[in-house]
This record gives sequence, structure tokens and C-alpha cells, in this order.
Amino acid sequence: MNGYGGRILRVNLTNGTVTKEPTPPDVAHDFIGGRGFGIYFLLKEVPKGADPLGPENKLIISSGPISGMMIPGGGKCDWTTKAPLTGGYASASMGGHFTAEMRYAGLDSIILEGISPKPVYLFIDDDKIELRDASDLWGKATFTVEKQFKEKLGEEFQVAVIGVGGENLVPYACINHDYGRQAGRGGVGAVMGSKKVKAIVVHGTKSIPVADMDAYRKAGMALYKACKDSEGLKDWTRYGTTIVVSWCDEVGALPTRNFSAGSFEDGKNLYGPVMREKIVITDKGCFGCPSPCGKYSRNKKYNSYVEGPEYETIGMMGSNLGIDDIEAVAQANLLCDDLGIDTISAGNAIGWAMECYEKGIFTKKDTDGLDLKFGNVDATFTLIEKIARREGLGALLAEGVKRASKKVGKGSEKFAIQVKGMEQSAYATHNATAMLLAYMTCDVGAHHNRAWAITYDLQVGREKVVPEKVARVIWLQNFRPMFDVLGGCRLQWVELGIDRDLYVPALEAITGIQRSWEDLDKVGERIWNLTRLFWARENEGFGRAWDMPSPRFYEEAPKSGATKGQITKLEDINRLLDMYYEQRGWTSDGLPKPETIESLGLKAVVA
Amino acid sequence: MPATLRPSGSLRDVVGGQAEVQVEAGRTVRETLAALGIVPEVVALVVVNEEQQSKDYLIQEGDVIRVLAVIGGG
Repeated sequence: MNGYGGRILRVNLTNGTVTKEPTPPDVAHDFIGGRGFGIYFLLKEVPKGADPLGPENKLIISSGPISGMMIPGGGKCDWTTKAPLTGGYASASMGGHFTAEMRYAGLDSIILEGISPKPVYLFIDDDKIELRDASDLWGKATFTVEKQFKEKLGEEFQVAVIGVGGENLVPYACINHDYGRQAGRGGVGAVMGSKKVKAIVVHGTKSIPVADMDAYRKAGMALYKACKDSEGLKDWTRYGTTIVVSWCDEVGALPTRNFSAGSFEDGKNLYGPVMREKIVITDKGCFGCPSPCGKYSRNKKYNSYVEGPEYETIGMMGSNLGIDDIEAVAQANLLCDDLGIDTISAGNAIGWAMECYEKGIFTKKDTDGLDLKFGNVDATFTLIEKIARREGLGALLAEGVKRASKKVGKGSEKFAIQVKGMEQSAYATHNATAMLLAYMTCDVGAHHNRAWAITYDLQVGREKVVPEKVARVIWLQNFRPMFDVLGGCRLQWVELGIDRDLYVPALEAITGIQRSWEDLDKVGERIWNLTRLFWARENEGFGRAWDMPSPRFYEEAPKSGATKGQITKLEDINRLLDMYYEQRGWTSDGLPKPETIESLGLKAVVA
Repeated sequence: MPATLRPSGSLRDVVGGQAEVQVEAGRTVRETLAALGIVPEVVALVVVNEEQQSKDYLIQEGDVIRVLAVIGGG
């Protein structure tokens, strides 16, 4: 089958068997790969009501047809599972070089199922595939384990590894790779930990069959040329995602002190150029990337090295905690990566705890003696460690802010900044209605990467609640995650502004299947509806109430910064949802109507 | 001699797909962007003659100005 390795690797951890099966051509045609494969196998194979950390849940790792190919950004890999953080759908995208090696080993997906009786790692070297004992690696930090594997097996082996957070089943534990790339959100690392899989190491030497080699070369070169010719290449490469820190501060989108404001009075100390000058020593890219957004930093203050921090971590571990020291943020980044917990959820949870402390809901008795004021760097470092090890206050924060605030009560639920149980990532949405809707309806919880609509808010009027905004969010939700289906990175499109039509001839040349963006957007829409159906299947009473944002965005206007005094009305939030459900073909409670399921050809998939 | 403004990515769509446009000296970058129909708030970075400047920078004759639109974080 052109464009595919042709095999799905099934790893049964309970009985220790590894088997290969052919990649189903109809699934490849209809769902293409990546997160398309993920939701297909999740719905088909994980039984209703499965415990996310039990043997029935599966961790589905999928490449796509442009992964490992001569296509800009072809280094993305999707990790799908039932989320321990939310009880719904999780899909985390990971960059680096892992997906390319998977493809060269002939694998389109790896499905981990069951639970191993002892710690193991999955070893893949082309057709030599084994589960090996990892007892001596259990308890070790991610960077230590990756380094050990690289030294033992060689640089060409790619490593995905969990840390202590994953071993301790922290519901927002991540999976680390390439000394600084993560499958970050939803708790994919906890699922890997529950299965007692410490790491996956992979290396391959096979070719991927291509339908039309000449057309593939031409299409690939056209994409690279478009990147090279982009006016923005130089600056995006110099600063990466940190370019937006100053902008977010300016427009009131930079989360500040647990999202109580969107501008930080000391934000300038965290801006991209400051970080570049102070700590960055080189750029670091993923497989095939012409515009490396990764910034590798030397942190003199803490005598350490780290990839990052990138924008999300600066927002969540910096301004959101009232910390204005870029070296402290970089160190917090390093601790989270090494312990294997998501910087976004961890920063959000610590911000919530700091607000509890400042409001008197927590005293030092609750904080293990920590003076948990905003801006306390040492307390932040201590809490990161405690979360990963589930110690003291860390054990509470490890549950995520939805569960933690429910336990604590005393009004703390109102400033638990989450949707569907996932902590909101680093955009404050007090007066950005399209971006707020994007968070409310995102298919994994409050994550930004499906529909980043905040510039649209600024273009058409941030407080406006109009059908065009809703349509924009839906278009982005259908289209942007298609990069996670194809196995590529969206940043060349969003940063460099290259024409998305350039990807179509490349995809056609690789797979031999005619495609258009109209067709691909439809695939995106089908996947979006399936993820919604998965949420509804797994959660009794799932519906509109699950899409509500934190009251902070409709009850408490910021008292400072660019959005001072600005807030979205609750009635407007409901209007947004009404319009969204109608445009999606869903009921007024937010569930896909039978005719919508039928018109998208999904009846057989959800039967 | 006028100055040259080079919009990147999606900002080019606002100026009819042009890679560069000639703009007048004596106005700020913010005013110039607005006059071109670019909402100043969507611009993340302003670089003038290879030096980063604020949107309140007063454009001089002969300046070469790059403006970058914003993206979606990590």
C-alpha cells in the first residue's frame, strides 16, 4: 500500500506477545493515519466504560503518510487513548524523530494493550521486536533513560520514555522524546505507566513505497522552497513560539496569576528576544524541519540545559505563577520534562493552588509549609517534584484542578481554569469569544492547538458573537488537526504562511490517492464527530454542561492589563454554543444528530 | 524616498498578496498598518532594518520594515 509501512504492531503486555497485522486499506483511505487511526481504533477496540488506567484501555501510537518523508515538518506522531485526566478522548501530538523511525520499521501504528506484570520496554529494530525487562530503569528520570539507550543502542535509535510522573499515574503525565519533545496532554504518560511500559525504542531501515516518485520529489521540493522563500522564516527560526509572548501580553492573552488577568506587569522579562539573548544557545528542529522552532538553552543560573521553554510553558510556569525570571521558567520546564509531567497542566494546577493560598483557602498546613504566594520560584520547583511523586499537596494537585477543586470546595471550583477536566493552556480568554469557544469545544479539553482563533477575534472585534466566528472555529477544528492525521507539523502553514494546497500533490504522489482540501476537511469533520461520540459513549449525561468554561471568563473581569474590565457575558457563551451546535449538525445539548452521523458516513464506525 | 514594508504570511493577503509595499515616512508602524487594513494587534513582531522595534516606531525614509503575524503557540 503506497504511502504506508503497511503494518500495525499489536503489543499485548498481559501475555507478552507482539504481533503484526496488515494496515486495513479501507481505514487508511477513510482515516488516512495519525489521529484518524487513533480515534478509529479507540472506538473499535476499547470497550465502553474501560478504566483509563486498566488493562482494557489502549495506547495507540500512529504515524501518517507524510511522516518520515521529504515533506517539511514530517516528524509528528499521534498518541491516542482514553484520558485518565478527563475520562474522554485524548490525542497528543509529539514531534522529534520517533515517527520517522517507526515508519522505517514498517509500522503505521503501535497499539499497546493489557498490563505487563513487570516494568518492560518495547524494543523495535526493523523486524526484531521484543519486550525487554526495564526493572532497572523504573524510577529513573526521562533524560537519564534516554541517554542510557542512546549510549547503549546508538544515536539512530529513537526513544519515547515516561518519567516518575507516568510511573505514579499522574493523570497529566507526559511522554518524553528527543530530550525535550513531548506527547504532552491528557495523561498519555500515565496510560503508558499503567501498562508498566517505561520506554519504546525504535529504529528502522526500510523504505516507504511511494506511488509516483518524480511527482513526490517535485511536490516535496515545492513545499521546501515555499518555506525557504517565506519572509517570516528568519524571525520564526530565531524566536520560535516565544515570538508571541510580547504579543499576548500586549493584547491581554498572557495568562497571569491563574488567569485573573491577561497582561503581566513584569512580562517583558519573559519576552522572546530577552530569552534568546539570555539563555538560548542554538535552534533545534524535528525531522525534516526547515524552520526549527525548538530553542535549546543553557541556564547558567541553575547550571542546566533544556530544550525550551516554548510559549506555553512561559505562559503557564511564568506569568501564570507571577514569575518573571526566564531562567526560573526554563528550570521549571526542565524539572517537568525530567519527571515526565505536562508543563501546561502542572503550571495551571500550581497557579490554582497559589490562588487558594492567597485567598486563605489554603494555609501552610495545607501546603506542607510552603509560602505559596504568586512568584515563589522555590515553592514552584518543590511542588513540581511533589506532583510527580504524589506527595503532600502534590498528591492533590496531581489529580488536576477539576478534581482537586471539587475536593477542596470553598469556592475554589470557580477559579479552576479547565474545560472537561483538562487545564486550560496559555491563552487568557476574558474577551476573545472565538478563542473561548475554541477552548470550550476542543475535543480533548481546554487545549489551544485545534482552533487557534484569537487573531480572528482581533480582526473582527473580540467581543462580537456572530455566526462567522463560530464558522471560523469549526473550519479550524476540522482543518488544523488534519496535520495530526497526515503525520506532519502545522507550524509551516501557520508561521510561514505557506499555501496549504501545496500539501495535496505531495500526499497524492505518496499514496496514489486523489485528494483535495475539500475532501481532507471532510475527513477532519468526520474525526471531530467521532471524538464527540466517544466522549458521549464514555460519560453518562455528557452534553452542553461539559462545554462550559471556567466562570472566571464570564464572572470576573481582569482588574489590570489590556483586558481590564472586559468580560464575556454568560448569555453570549450560551449563544455561542447554540450557534456552534447548529452549524455542526448537533442537538441543542451538543450531541451529533443521527442524520449528521449518517451524512458523514459514520454509522458503521459507531455501530 | 519612501520606506518598504514587507508583510509575512497571512498579512500579505490583506495587501493583495504583495510581498512588499511602499509606505510613507513620518508615520508610526501602527498607523501605517492600520492604513493598509492590517489590524495592528495581529502583528507580533516589527523588525526595522534588522532591529526589533515597537509598533510606535516612527518610520524614516529608506527603512525596510518586516512585520510578522502571530501563530498558535506550541
